[in-house]
Amino acid sequence: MSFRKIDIDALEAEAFQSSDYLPETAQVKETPEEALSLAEARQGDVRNLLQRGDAVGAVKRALQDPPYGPDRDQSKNTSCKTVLEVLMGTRSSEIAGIVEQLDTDERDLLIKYLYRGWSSPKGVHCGPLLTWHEKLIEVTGTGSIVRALTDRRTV
Amino acid sequence: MSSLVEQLFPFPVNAHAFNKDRSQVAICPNSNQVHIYEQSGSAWNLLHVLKEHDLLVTCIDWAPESNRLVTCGQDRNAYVWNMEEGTNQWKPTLVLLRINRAATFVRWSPREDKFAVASGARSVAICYFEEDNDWWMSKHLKKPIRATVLSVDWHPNNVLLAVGAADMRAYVLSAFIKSLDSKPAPGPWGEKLPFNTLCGEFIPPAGGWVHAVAFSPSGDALAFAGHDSSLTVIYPGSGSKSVVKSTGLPYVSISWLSEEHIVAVGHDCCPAYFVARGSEDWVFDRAINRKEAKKNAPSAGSSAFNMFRQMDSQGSSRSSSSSGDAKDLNTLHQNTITMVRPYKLSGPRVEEYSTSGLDGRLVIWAVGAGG
Repeated sequence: MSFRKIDIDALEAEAFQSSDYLPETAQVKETPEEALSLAEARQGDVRNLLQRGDAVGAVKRALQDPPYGPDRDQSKNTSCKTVLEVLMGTRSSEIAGIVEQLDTDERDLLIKYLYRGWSSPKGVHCGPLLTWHEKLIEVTGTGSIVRALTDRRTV
Repeated sequence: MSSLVEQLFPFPVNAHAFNKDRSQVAICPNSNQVHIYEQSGSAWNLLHVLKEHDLLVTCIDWAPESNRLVTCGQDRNAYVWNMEEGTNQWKPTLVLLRINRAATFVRWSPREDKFAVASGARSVAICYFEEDNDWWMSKHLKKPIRATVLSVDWHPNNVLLAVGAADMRAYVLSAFIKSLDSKPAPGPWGEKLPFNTLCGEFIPPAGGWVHAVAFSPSGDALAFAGHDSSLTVIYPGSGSKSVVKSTGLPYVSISWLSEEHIVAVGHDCCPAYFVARGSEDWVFDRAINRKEAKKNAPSAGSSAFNMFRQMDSQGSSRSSSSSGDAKDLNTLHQNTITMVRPYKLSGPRVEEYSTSGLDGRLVIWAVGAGG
C-alpha cells in the first residue's frame, strides 16, 4: 500500500497550489509577523471603542484587515477572539441596528467569523452568535452563506 | 413580465436549443439521447430521437442559418447533425475532439463556421470543417486554463471566446483560425489576436467556480457568474468592473437582454434581472415570481409552526387537507434552472427568452415593457 503515500501532486507539473485558489485581492503583502502586530493593534482599539460604548465602531474596526493568507494561525486566532468578544458583548436589541450599518463586504466577513466561532466553540457563547447570524441572514439572504462556504480566504 | 409558454417534460432538461423559426426544440433529457420536439398548438410532439452518444449528453446548440445541430457528451465526443432532405432524418458526423475527459459545453460561433467544445481536460476544443479531409478538425485552447471548463461564449466578431472554468477564473481568449477568419478589427479586447491570445483573466469577488460567461450584444463587455452568488460585469474599454453580490443562491446560466439588462438563472429556480444604473454600474433589479408569492404566503415562522402543529395533531407527516401546495416552491420552476437562452429578438434587444430546468420545465418568458 506504499503507493498510497506517494504525493502525486509533486509529480504533476500543473498541480493546483493553494495560492491558485485565492482571488487577486488575497495576494497579501504583509508578513505573518506584521499581520500579528496588526491583529494585536486592532484588539487594543476594539477594547477602547467598547469601553467608550461605541458598538458599531468596535464591530467595524474588528472587521478591518482580515488576516488572510498562509502561516497566520496566531493572528487569525487573535482576530477571531477580538471579533467574537465584540459580538458576544453586544446587547441583542442592538444587533439589527449594527447589521444595518455594515456594508456588504463587512457582512460577508462577519459570517465567516461566526462560522469560525462555532467551529471551535471553546470559550464561545453560541447563543448571541446565533442571534447575529439570524439578523445578518435577514439582510444578506442565503447569498452570504454561499460566499462564506465558497471563499478560500479563511479567517 | 410573465411566462408565455410552459411545457413539463417527464425528465430533467439538461440543455435546450430552438431552431431558427422556433418551431422545433432540441432537448437533452438527462440521458445519452437528444429529443427533438415540434410545437403544434399548445402541444409538443416528439419528432426525432438522436441516438449516437454512449454517455450523458451535456450540451446542445442549433445553428440557426445552416440548420445544423451540435451535441457533446460525457463520452468525450461531439457530433454535428445534418438534416438529410431525402430521408428526413438527422445524420451525425463525428468530430475529432482529442480530449481525454468529458465534454461539458458547446456553442456555435456567430458565423456558424466553427464551434467551441468545453471539456474537463482543462481545454476548449475549437472545431472547424476542413474541406480537404472532409472532416471536422479541432484546435485546443489550453493555456492558461487549469481546470474543467464549464461554459463558453462567442464574441460577435467570431474570433474571441469567453471561457468560464472551475479554476475560479473567467478568461477571454482568441480562437482565431487562419483558414477561416479574416483579421478582426482592433477593439477594447486587444489589437493583435493570434490563436490562444489571452485578452483578459477575471476572478469572482469571493472565488468559486465560474458557472457562466456571456459577452454583451456589442461584445464590448463581459458578464460572468460565480459560485459565490455573484455577477460581475467587465468593461475592458474603460477598465471598470462592476460586482453584484446576490442575496440568493448561485447562478449557473446568464444571458444579456440588452446592453443594460441581464437575466441570470440558477439554483434559486427563478430568473433574476440585473440592470445597469447609469454607466457601467450594475445592480440587482428583481427576481421573478417571488413578489406575488410573498403576498399570499404567511411568514416562515408561523407556517413552520402550523405545519408541526398539524403533524402533531394528526399524527401524520403530511396532512392531506391543506399542504397540497406547501411543498411547492413559490417559483415557476420547481428545481434548478440549467439554461437560459434568447428566444425572440427585436434588433439587439431580447424580447422573450427561454429557460429549462431540472424539474423538466421548458418555459418561455416575456421581458415586458417595464424592464
